[in-house]
Amino acid sequence: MTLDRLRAGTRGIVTRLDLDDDTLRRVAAFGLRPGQTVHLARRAAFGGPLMLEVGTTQFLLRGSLARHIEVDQRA
Amino acid sequence: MRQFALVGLPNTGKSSLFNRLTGLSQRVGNWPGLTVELAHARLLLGNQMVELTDLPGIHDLSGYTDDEAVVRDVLGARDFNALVLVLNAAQLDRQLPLAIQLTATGLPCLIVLNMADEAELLGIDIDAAALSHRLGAPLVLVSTRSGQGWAELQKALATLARQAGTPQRARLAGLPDTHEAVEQAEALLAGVWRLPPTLPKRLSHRLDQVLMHPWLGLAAFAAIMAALFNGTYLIGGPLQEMLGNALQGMREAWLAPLATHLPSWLASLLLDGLWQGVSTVATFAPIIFVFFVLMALIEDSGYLARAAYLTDALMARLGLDGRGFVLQLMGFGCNVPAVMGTRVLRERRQRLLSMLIIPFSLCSARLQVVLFFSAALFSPRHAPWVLAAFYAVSLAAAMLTAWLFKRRLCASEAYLLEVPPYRLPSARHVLTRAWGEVAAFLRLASTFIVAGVVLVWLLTRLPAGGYGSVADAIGHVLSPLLDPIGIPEPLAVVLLFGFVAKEILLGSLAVVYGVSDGQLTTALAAQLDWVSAMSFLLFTLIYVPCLSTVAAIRRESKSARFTLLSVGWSLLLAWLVSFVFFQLASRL
Repeated sequence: MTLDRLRAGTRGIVTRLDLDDDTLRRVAAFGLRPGQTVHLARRAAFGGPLMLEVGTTQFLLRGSLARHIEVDQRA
Repeated sequence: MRQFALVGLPNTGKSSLFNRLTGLSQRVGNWPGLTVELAHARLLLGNQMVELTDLPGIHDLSGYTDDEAVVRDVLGARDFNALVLVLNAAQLDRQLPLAIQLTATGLPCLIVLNMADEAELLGIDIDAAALSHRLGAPLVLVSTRSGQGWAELQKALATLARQAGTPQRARLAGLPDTHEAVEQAEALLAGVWRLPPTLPKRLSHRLDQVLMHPWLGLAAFAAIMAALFNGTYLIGGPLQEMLGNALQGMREAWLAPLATHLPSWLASLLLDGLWQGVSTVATFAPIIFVFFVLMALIEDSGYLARAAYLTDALMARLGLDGRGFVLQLMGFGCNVPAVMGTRVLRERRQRLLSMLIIPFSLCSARLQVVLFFSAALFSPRHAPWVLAAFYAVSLAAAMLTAWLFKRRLCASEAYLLEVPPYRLPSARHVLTRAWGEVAAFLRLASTFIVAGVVLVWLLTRLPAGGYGSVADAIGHVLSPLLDPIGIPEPLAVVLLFGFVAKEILLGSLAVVYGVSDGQLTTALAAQLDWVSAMSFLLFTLIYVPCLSTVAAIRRESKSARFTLLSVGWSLLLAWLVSFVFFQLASRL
């Protein structure tokens, strides 16, 4: 499944990122890399951004970008 | 003198560290050959004088963002003795790759792990000595906020200054790319930096339950923005008035008597031109100071990212991000600091788009004009609706502009924004920053704004044959443009004054009608029909807010072309809106 469809409060492991090189670099700077566990902490109303946690870093990511990131859902 | 560069990721407290090290001795200046302004300061480390330059926060030395290019340009253009790298001790898993890239440049590095207190609270285990050994660079653990480790940092900096050899250029070719740096960092951290299996729940999580809640969060956002807004007004407004009165008093008590010995044109140029201009500009200083104190509180506390979370859904549709919303709102107080505040948006195109729409925010100076007109021309029952309508027009103009220009100025960068834990802002950092902004603004006044003010003075005083002044002649020439929007020719001069500042618009209107300020209400009602008055008011709302805003746009965009675009577009839009209104309303 893609990251934007993860349920709020659950975790996933990043498996694939269908992004261009530049964007790949930007998301890697926030820890979004294959094999990393990501926690979807919350989701803003009206199709707003997702708040993600990787390690101790929390950050916002828009759904339009999260659609290109594949994750395996974890408990 | 030794040259050090301060490098680090955004949100690592790099600027706070710089402020704490340098205090008010820092200068912001243009970097030779680059269109960026960088803060730098001289400081004595041990017995060595060192010039420390604060570079923009970056994630990746091999990246393509504007800031990353700036850092590469600076490092590639000038010799440095050493780099000081600031990282968040609690986020080394994603921040250490930058250290790998920087140590590979061949320049001596000092690694500063900031926010050591937060890392400790999270239960993160750091073996600083082993990590320093593996990196081959000295490393100190500090907390800029609490002062923890400060003495060690000073000592490490002094050692770095003492041992520095000849300055050299950074080696930028063949640096490890993102992927390599990440892999090397992972290997380096193994066993010397450990997260606990489960992170303790922090106060930030509990606060976010409320502040990021779908509707509680929006209510809190509205309350915080209202407090911010009123704070700027309630504290900055009276200060602005006091300073204005003091400058006016100085003029009457000292300057006017001195000027009686001068030829009258020179006295008028100095008093009505130069002094008037300088005072108008200087009265912005308190507002800018208060605004940046409050803005720094919002940013440093971590709230700005929450505000972005709440408003991003709307702003994304306009090609902007959530932080732009806060600036747009602050523009309703005063456009000048809001334009200067666009620096929190790191991408240039986002910043330009924000700068283009902020001038449409109905600021407090224009509010006075709108309030005055609506009180003069409408019954007390209708006046509030007129005011509300003007706020709606202001928002609509901003949204239309964003919508029209978003394709050209749309962000190309992926939108990722760190949401830092809530932090107590440091008073020292907040005040240093606000003072820096005021000083930067006043430096502007010394050239751009004073020149503009003197130009308007010349236009309104220089005779032009049968037309009175040059400004009257301009009004006459412009009448084919003013007639279709119902603005009488004499008011062209008023609009010219309004270009300098809306604060002096009503005064110049009184001069045009030859009445005292107190009689202006009756004069307005007698001279202007409501359709012309509304058209004039719409034009006043939409066209260039004031010379100070133009100067701020020029300073922040560093582009004369963009500044012209901003001025030209607002004039065009003002004319179009007034035209549509006047043509429709006068046919009713």
